[in-house]
Amino acid sequence: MFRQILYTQWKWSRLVLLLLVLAAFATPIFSIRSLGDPGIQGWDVRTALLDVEGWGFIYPFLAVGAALLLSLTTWGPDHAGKHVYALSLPVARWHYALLRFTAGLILMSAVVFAIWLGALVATATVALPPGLHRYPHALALRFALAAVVAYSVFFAISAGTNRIAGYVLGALAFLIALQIIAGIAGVTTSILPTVVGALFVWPGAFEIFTGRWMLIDV
Amino acid sequence: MSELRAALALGMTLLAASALRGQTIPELRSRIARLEGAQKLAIAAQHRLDSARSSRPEVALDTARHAGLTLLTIPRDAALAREAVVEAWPALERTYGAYAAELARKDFHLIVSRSPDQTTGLPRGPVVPVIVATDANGHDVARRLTLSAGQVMSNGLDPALHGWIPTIYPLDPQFDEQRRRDVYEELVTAPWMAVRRCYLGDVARCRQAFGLTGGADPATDWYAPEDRARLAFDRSSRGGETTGQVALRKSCVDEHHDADCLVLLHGLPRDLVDPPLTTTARATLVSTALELGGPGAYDRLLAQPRAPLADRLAAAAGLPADSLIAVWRNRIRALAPMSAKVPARSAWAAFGWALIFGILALRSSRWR
Repeated sequence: MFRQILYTQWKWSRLVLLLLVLAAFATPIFSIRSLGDPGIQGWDVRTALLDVEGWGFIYPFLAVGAALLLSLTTWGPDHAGKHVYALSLPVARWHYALLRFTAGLILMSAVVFAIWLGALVATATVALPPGLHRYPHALALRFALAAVVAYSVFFAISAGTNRIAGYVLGALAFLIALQIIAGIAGVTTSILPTVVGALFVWPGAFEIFTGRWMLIDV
Repeated sequence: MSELRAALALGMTLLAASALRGQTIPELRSRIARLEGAQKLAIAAQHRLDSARSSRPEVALDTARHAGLTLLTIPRDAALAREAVVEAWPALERTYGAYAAELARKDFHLIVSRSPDQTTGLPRGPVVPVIVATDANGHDVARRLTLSAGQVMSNGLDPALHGWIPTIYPLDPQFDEQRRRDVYEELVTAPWMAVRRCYLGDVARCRQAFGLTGGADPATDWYAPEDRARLAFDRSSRGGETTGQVALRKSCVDEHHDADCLVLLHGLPRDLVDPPLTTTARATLVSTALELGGPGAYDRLLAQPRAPLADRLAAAAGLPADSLIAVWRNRIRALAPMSAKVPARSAWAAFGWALIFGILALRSSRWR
């Protein structure tokens, strides 16, 4: 049954997946083009690192984008078909969701593999000045973890009812509104920064997104 | 003020008389009680004196004192201030040794940056502001206080040392570690030849990069010929130049004629051509010297204002200058930035969260 689930998910998402894989492979290669000169030194090193850092913003967005698109394509046809296909299967709901989740992770691994391969190819083509190092494996690992976290979140929201998605969005809107009202009322409070800190500072769920997404670094 | 004097006079009288009196227990108890009373009077008088320092009569000021530190604040922040002075003083004493006593001549003023309409008190007379965020705790205030104290101490530096490093901040392991990480990045990415060779282990080039050798002609003493076009480009001013200066700049920057670069650089004010390593890197060398030198290191650093800086740093550290630089370099290299590596705890946290969200997705039992 798992093979069938995987096959259907592959069919639904192959075009999106192809684009994601291409983007994932190309991003590391483009990110280090400023380090292409073997004689690079001095100010050029700093400028090149800043350039690599600038490209680093693409990776977390790519991870989130890939997770969102794959989780949507995972559940989209089920929602459209009112889950008739799923209900006709002789499996429990949790089992069915697990199959879908695992299949999505396997498809996501193609994007991670593309990042890793792109990073390896990119770093193999540059001669670095002393003090700079290549981090293809670390970058791929960070991307993989970020993508899996994002995929789990989007999958959980997609797998739930509309009400759950509404609660999540409602809670977010409530926090923003509370912060704005407190600001207007002149109350010194830091609700949003606290929430953001809880999410993006270790051991927050999204801390993995906040590190240095550098393929080449000191 | 008269009450304070009276209390002090009483205390002195009691102390002077103690040698002449008997030593029976009731008499001792009575004297202790009187001394305690005098102390209370003195404290109350000091509080009135502190409040009188407020430029606005309706805003009272409280004082936190410990050893040589005085931190004025509004009563609301008094506990924070007391905690901070107690924590800050040992770090200041450890760094500045006997010189830390000079801080007693300055009063610091704690300002917690709340909304603009909430008063922070404004003491009369000169004070050094110590500004902290609303959510600062005692440790944060102590760190900010030590930094402000460091700036005060920099007024006492001789011109040679002050010209090389404007401020010697107190030793603080957390702060020093962050600065060393920044310096590691500087060593790797700095454009100057001496800095890059220093990173590779050439101690003589480290001396050069710190500006600890020569100095009569910084452009040639500290910078390599291949650095000078960039240096001239960075430091020389644009606009208002004569035709000759524009031609020189073009020849230096575009065609890399070193002789023209030197003419341009020699025409610049002396302080514009500073050592290749930044003041942050120099600060880490000083903190290494003070740390290695232990008690009295700061005194030794300031003891001979006319001696070469390398010798003064060596004296402070109790090591030859090259050994000090080697220790400094090893410490910097040992603290390579975390860079792109994924810390294990981050990886585990991400894995854990993915698992939690995955389980949440499986637990939903409703079909939509």
